[in-house]
Amino acid sequence: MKYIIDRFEGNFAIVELSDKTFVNIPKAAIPPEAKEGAVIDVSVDKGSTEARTEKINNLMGDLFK
Amino acid sequence: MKWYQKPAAILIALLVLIPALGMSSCNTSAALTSSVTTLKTTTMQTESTSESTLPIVTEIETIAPIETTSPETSATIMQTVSGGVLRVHYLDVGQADSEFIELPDGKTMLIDAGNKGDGSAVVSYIKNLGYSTIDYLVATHPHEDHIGGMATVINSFNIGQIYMPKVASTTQAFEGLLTTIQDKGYSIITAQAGVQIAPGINILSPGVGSDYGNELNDWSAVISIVYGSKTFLFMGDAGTDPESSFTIDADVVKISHHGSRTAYSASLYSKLSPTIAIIDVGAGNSYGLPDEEVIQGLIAVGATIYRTDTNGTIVVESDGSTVTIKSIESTTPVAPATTAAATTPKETTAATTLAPVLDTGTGEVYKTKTGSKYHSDGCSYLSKSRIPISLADAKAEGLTPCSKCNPPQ
Repeated sequence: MKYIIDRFEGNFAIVELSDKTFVNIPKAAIPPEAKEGAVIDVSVDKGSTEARTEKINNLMGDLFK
Repeated sequence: MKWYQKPAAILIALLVLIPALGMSSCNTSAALTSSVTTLKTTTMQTESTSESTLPIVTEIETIAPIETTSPETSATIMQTVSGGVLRVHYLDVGQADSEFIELPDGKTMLIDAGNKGDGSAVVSYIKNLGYSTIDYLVATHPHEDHIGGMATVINSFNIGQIYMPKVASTTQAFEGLLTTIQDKGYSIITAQAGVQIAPGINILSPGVGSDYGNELNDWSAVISIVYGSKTFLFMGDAGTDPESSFTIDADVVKISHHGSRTAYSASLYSKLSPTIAIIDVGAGNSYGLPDEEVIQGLIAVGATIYRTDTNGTIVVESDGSTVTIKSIESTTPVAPATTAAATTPKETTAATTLAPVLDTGTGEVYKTKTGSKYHSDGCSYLSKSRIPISLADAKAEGLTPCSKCNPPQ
């Protein structure tokens, strides 16, 4: 999914979603290089998700009796 | 570099929208759609010691320059709007900007049109004043809290001239505005310093050749309206960089950027020395606006501050030698004009003629994708979905008013 940074106010970026509504997103969750007008592409990183799942499962496997 | 030449997409692996943080508080957008009453009326005889020597002039040739602190100022003062009463409505559109101006010669002007969801409320407000034409339409800059409602406005009125700074936003909201202008067959006049919208109405910024890059606020069209000895200044969201390029002594100033410190410069406000400062800002906004240092700075230069979050829609009028202020609050029923407690005949006249009779049946409210309630703009229940809908349509769909944000009923 994609959305567009309309502007920055305080600690937030105000972004336009694909349904043309606007929401606040903390600046900390926006790439620092993203300027007003940037199109942000949000997607699930499957590889990282699987790697994190495996890592956590391994950690849990060591801890649960 | 054009916007479309920039990296088109930036990937974020995991990102969680923070829906609980609304963009403005409940009851902000409701302001324009409900009944009105006059809360307070103050006649301000602003410092016009030279009043008797500065008659309201109707011929440009008869106007004497009164302030010559800079070439811009004298050039501005040389021509003033003429006729009867200048009346400026600072509309309460929540965390957004919109100012509707009734010019002394009967023409009309709209500077910005609020958020997307505010468009129909802005239209209703102006139509309830009896107008079907907006002679001068200004989009100060392409941020949605300034242009969001403008396509609706353009589709609802006869439009004269349209002024915008030549700078792009990539949003669908801005694209929608452009395509609306295109569909209507209108064209756009570049808003930049030196452009005269009409005699006495001038664009002071952005400067010719200025390039503020991605800082869309700094591209804001800054507009002065000079009437007799009084100057109204509309600053959009201009920051300190463009602000440093113009000098003007103003009586009534629409403070830049909702009172943000990013647009605050002590030296600028010292130069402006406004008698009256208007801040367009949404109650309970998530951005901490207005910033306290701006408030303190305005107090320090002797300005009386009015805010749309606490005063609702603010109406200011001038006969060219005095400025009269009214605050119109929207959440209580219309009071009979005689209870406006006017202390002078002038105020009584203004109270009966200014307060528009607002249509409570066409208000813009919001629904969610799945909920059975309708809401005011900024209600926290709108965090996941926020779908504009007219009040009548909301009722027709069987939606009931949210008990938390008290939307119009």
